[in-house]
Amino acid sequence: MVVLLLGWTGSWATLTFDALRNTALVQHGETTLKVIDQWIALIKKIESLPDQEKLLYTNNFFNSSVRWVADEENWHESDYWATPLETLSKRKGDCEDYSISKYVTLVLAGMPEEKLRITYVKARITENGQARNQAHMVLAYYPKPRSEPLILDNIARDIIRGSLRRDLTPVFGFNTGVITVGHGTKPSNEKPTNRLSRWGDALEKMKREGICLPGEMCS
Amino acid sequence: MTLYRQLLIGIVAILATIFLGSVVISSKSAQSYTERSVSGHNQNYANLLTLLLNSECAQIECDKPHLETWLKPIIDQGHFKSIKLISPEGDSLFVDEAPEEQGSAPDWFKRAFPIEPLPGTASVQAGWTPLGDLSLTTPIEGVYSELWEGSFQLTLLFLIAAILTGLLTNYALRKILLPLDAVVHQANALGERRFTKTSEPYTFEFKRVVVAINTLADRVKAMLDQEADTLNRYRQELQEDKVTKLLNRDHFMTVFRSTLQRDDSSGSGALAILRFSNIVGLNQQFGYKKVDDMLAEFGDAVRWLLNINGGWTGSRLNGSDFMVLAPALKQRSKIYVDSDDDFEVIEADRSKEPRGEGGQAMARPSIHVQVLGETHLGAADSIRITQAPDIGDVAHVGEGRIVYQSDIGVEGRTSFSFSVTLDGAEQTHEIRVLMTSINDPESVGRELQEQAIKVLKQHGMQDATEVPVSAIYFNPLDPVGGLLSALDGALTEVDEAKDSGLKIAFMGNGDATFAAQEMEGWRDIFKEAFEKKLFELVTAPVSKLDGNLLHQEANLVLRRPSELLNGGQFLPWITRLNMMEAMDRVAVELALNYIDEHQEAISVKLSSEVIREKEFKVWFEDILSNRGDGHHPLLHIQINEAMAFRYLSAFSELCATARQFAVKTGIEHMGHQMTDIGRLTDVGIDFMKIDVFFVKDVNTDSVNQNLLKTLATLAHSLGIHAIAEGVANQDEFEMVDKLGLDGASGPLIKDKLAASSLAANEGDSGSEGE
Repeated sequence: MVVLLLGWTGSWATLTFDALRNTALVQHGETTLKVIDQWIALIKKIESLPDQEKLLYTNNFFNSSVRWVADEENWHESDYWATPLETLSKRKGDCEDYSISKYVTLVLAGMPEEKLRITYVKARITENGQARNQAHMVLAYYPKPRSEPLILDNIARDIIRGSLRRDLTPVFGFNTGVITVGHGTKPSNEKPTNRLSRWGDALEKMKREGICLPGEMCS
Repeated sequence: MTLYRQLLIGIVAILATIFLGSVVISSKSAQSYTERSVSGHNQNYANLLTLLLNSECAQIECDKPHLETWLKPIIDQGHFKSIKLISPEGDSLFVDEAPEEQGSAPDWFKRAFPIEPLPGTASVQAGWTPLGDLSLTTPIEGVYSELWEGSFQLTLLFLIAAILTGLLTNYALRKILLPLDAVVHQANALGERRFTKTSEPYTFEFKRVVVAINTLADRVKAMLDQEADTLNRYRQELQEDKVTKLLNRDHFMTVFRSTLQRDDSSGSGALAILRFSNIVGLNQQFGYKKVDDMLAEFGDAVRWLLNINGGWTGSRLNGSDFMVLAPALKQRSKIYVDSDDDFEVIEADRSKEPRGEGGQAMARPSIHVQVLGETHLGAADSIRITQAPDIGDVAHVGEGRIVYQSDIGVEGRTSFSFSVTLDGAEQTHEIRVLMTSINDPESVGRELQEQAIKVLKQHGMQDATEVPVSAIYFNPLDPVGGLLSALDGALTEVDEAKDSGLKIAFMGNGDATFAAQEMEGWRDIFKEAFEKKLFELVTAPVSKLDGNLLHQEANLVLRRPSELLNGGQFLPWITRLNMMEAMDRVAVELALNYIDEHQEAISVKLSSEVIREKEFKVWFEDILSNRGDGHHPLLHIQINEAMAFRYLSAFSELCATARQFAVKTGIEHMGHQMTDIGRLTDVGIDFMKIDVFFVKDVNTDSVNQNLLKTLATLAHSLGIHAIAEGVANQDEFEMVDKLGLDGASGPLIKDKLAASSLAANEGDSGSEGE
């Protein structure tokens, strides 16, 4: 079953990566294509690795290659959810861009989406001796349905268990599965407006760029 | 299926498709929109509820009772259909469903337009730990009701629009297809070889058809006209005297003999002869050329007489003798003013009469009435004709003079009114006109003589010759030889008196009794005859050339206690007493009785009068629709050629009426007005009987052979049977057959049919009594 699932994901991923590479080249140029190729190489490399190692590679890849900037500066919008391609082409992003890119990377590398949950958190940040609360977003990994998650964050660069992250208070978690789960009878009828709008928009944009997540309807 | 119905069905189908399509598309779009909208709301509620639960459960342990106290009020107080919270292991932490009321939408509508919004889903977590997946739905019945009512109203609206469009289309279709009836009518007429013309319809496609048929009708007409014209010219050249353009002796005699053979009222009349007694002396004194000029002019004058007295025939018998035949039916009308007011009837001045087409004076009987005296001539401009006469025309020609012009050969009464303003007061006067036919030999002879004297005076020859005249009254079946020798004797008598006198000849007894003296006697006889139904039919067979009977030609006889009068004896008096219509009604009734009795086709001769009488047409329709099944293929009617052409439009109407009842129509004594044959194209008659004049001696007369042959061809091209009248012997019969005619009447046919019926009845006890 696992083999089957992997095999299917792989072949399907290969197909769509061509589209993605094409988009990268046409829209962003050869430099971006090089980064994307590195990213694809990463996905292919970690596909066969256990979950723990997938998390580690992914977390490191984005934490080291993407520099944090505020959306205001990056996109001239107060809040902008970028796709992995956009994030990698700019090599800049904020918390949700890190979380989305890591989520997409892991799902493409064959990780079941139930194990992942992009989570709104309240972060307590100490800067220059001053502590303040900030809205933040991280990616949580649940090895078991009811277990304590591992947190992939761009502030704390290492993967740490949720209970040890005293600075984070979880508010609301989601992934593609929970959000898009209907009764299962009519997934095709589903429109982006039915989703969390920014998340839905980001998923749509990814489709157009050539990334199609398992369970999505891609043309 | 009719074109109209097909088009209507097509349009209704299109309308229904548009209408149904619109309703379905509109409902589908509403369904899809509603579904998305409700799904979005569901998701919003799920997100909100999850955020609240996350916050609650981060602080307090959310066990089942806690969740229930939390979620129960929401579903009870709110507008949710169901709320479920399922743990990651699949246990129900909370499940509740609110009952839903049935809305107004019927089940079939829900099945046709199902609304299945996505439930709102989100995952609830206590701190980092997942608690379960929340899923909620909102009620849908209310939405169905809205959609149902919306669709219902839309249906209603479309239905009204469709009905309105349908009505409009129906109206438009009828309007567009209306000319089709006319086209079909015309095409049917074409099938019956009636070449009618129709006004061009508005619809383009129909217009093309009508234009094509109209062109065909025009061509046929033009072809017939041309053919007839050529024939007529040919006939004239061979039959006319070169100088005077009057008939030569041979042909005149044939006309005369055929006139005497008719046993209706046209078989009687007057015959007058005029002689230039000193033609030899004239030639010596003035030279041939001048005398010929004079004679040509006299010919013109005689032809003018013939013209204004429709039906007369004139001839130059030899160098000096001229003869005029005036059959009674085609009498000349004398007009009298019959009025209480004192108007002066003054001498007719042809130069003052209104001109016809081409500036020609119309050769019509006329009266001139001076309505203002010399003292009042200033008021002449105020004269207005206020009511026109129903026969003829009337006009004010200036100087207080009103001219009335009658139609040729018409008898009867008519009237007209005019107003004149005298001393500021307007007066209206009525003038009644009586048109009678006085056709006695004396007046015919006198007319002829007056013309001759006038022409002689114009040429200064009045002293060089006398113009003696004699005239005679003839009856049908009178011996030609007897009439001519009596006439000749009288003329010699006048001639010997060396005077331009006039003598009325006599042959036998009573022939010359003057009309006026007999009038009253006849009136009593007819009154009794109509009351006691003393008229009877005698029949003469008309057969097809294969020997089968075409119809019996009906003639009326009057049975009196002492004698049996034939039509030729009493019909002229019927005409004079203006009883033709009553006579024709009797004839039609007797013919219908004959058909009931014998089941044999019979043809009735109708007079000229009934063609014009509206009352007769009404009566005719009435009796035909009331007798039997209103279908009378055995009844045929026939009308004299001259009358048929003179009153062609009225005759055409009568034929149309006859066609309605399957009555066949025809023209008798045909051939004299050959130039008019082209006018028959749209009348639709069934048969034409060619006058005995053209049939007599046809086996030897090549001119008549040609004429008969061409007439038959023309008739066939119009779908008309051509029948030869008065076939007297086997030679004529065979020639008629050879020339392509369809039937024949006359003594020979009578004998033939009698012989064959005798043969058929051989051995029977009775025999056919004639």
